[in-house]
Amino acid sequence: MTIGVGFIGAGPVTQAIHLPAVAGLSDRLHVARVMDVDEGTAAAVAARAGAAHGTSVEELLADPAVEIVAVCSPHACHAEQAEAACAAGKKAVLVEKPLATTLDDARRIAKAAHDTGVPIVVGAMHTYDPAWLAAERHWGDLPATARRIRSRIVLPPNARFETLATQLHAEPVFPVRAGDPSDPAVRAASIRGAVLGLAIHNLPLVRRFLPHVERVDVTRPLSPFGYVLTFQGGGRTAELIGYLHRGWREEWSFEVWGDDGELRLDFTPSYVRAGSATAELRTPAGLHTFGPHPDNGYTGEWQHLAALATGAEPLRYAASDLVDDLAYALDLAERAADLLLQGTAA
Amino acid sequence: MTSTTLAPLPVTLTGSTDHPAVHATLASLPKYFRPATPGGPIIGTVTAVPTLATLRGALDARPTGTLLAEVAGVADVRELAERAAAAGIPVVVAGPWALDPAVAALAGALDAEDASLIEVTATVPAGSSPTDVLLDQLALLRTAIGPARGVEVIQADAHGHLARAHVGDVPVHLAAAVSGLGTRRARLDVLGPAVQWRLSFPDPATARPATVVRTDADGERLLPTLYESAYRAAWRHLHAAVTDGTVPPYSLHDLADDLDLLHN
Repeated sequence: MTIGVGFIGAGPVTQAIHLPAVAGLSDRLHVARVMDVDEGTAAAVAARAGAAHGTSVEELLADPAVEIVAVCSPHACHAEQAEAACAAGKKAVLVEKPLATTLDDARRIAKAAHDTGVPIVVGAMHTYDPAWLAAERHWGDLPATARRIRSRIVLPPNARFETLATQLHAEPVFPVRAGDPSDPAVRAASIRGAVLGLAIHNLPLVRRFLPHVERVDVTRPLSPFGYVLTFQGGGRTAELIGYLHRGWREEWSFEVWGDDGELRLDFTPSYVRAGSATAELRTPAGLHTFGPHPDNGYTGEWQHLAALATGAEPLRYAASDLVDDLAYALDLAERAADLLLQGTAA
Repeated sequence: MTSTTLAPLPVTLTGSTDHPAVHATLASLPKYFRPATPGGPIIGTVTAVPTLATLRGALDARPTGTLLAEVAGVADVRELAERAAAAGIPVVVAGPWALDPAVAALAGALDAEDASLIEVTATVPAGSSPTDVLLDQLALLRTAIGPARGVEVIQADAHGHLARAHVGDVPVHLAAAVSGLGTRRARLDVLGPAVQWRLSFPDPATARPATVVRTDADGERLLPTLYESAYRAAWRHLHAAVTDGTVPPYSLHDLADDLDLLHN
């Protein structure tokens, strides 16, 4: 008997990422129910997996066939739905990133998880990437000796990968970016969105090596969409570069330089099942390479969720860690936006 | 008479260290250069860590040309650049990346006008001076795309540096990380909405080629690779400047301009 999964929200991420990932683990997981506010979407996406469907979160949570809940709804809904999933006594809850939109909401989720004993996993897929985890087992004191960190995310439009990962039920509709880009308030909102929408993918990794942000030095929005952010803390310096272009080439890398170790990971793009990152760890003893492995971080998330649901392994990242990850991202986004509003950024 | 039929130019080396591989580099250009005999005409060169005094001394010897083998610890060369120009002495400034033949092969093809960001990043061995590395990065920027303006150093310490600038209206991100393991490499990326360029430079102490890749809607094109270090190319530029009067891609005046960018 496999473990039943219920999806709250049946948008492109559910369709293109999670459904194929769960299907790939059919020896232990199956989709039991799909909920979406749009009944047609819920029905169509559920039909792909032979699952039940509906438009009610309560109905999904009351379904005993749903043992793991995946919260893939708009960010503002995460807290309430994750709390409810915990209260329903499910075996595990996956919350897509970001965990919540405010720190208070994140703490509410953590409290619900603590009070109910229901484990929470955030969909920070790179923290479950097999190459990242393998490098982590070997990097020794690199987090303590790290001096420079660089995260670089250069990507084409999501549609390039989504359409190769699944056949979407309907084309996603994105809100048009409004406002005068020369208006500092618009630029500040844009950089907040860029940090919480794109940079956040690597921020849990960055936090491992630069845990406390003391100062943001550079906030530079890029046209048509992107950012350059640099910041410091604890004698360490980090650079975040993100850029979405109209082409096809992707480069998603993460680098760390420490006193006697250097780490570089090259991740595969989101959506497509292209396997894990490749990690290169240089130490005085030589070069160690990890990956690529067949499974990517999304599959890693679901393997962990299945293991949590059966009690086969302990929770990898405590709820307090997840709250701290969000606090880090929110703090960075606010500092970056403040710098723009102060007019001291380029 | 063309330069290839001229007798090898006699070279006098100033300085005692063989860095960056001056002797081996000269030995790979036997038709262009030979060690000078006492009393004969010379091309003065400055090796290792030059001081203004050694550079001034090299120019005072009235060579037919000079190669500044490595930019390290130089503060101001404007007056010397003017003096060399007045005396008609071409001065080629070598470096790890700017004169790499892969950059010369671009021949102005790298158009960054529509770019959203230019990145110049490097990993350098421990002990590297942030100012020297920044100068090398600005030199690369100048020969590959064009001169920077508005250089602002954001952060610099023993572990690396961060700076920003512009080329035209395009923002430039300059960064370097110091490697405790001696890693030395660099990249220049031009990110545009439709076209991206990626120039990757391996350890400049070797002739392992830099790669230049242009990415656009039609795919990706790797330009032909050339197994020649930037240092050897610098000597070729010196020979051409002396024998044919060509203007070096990176001269003492360019170095003076980049020093001004850092200090003003």
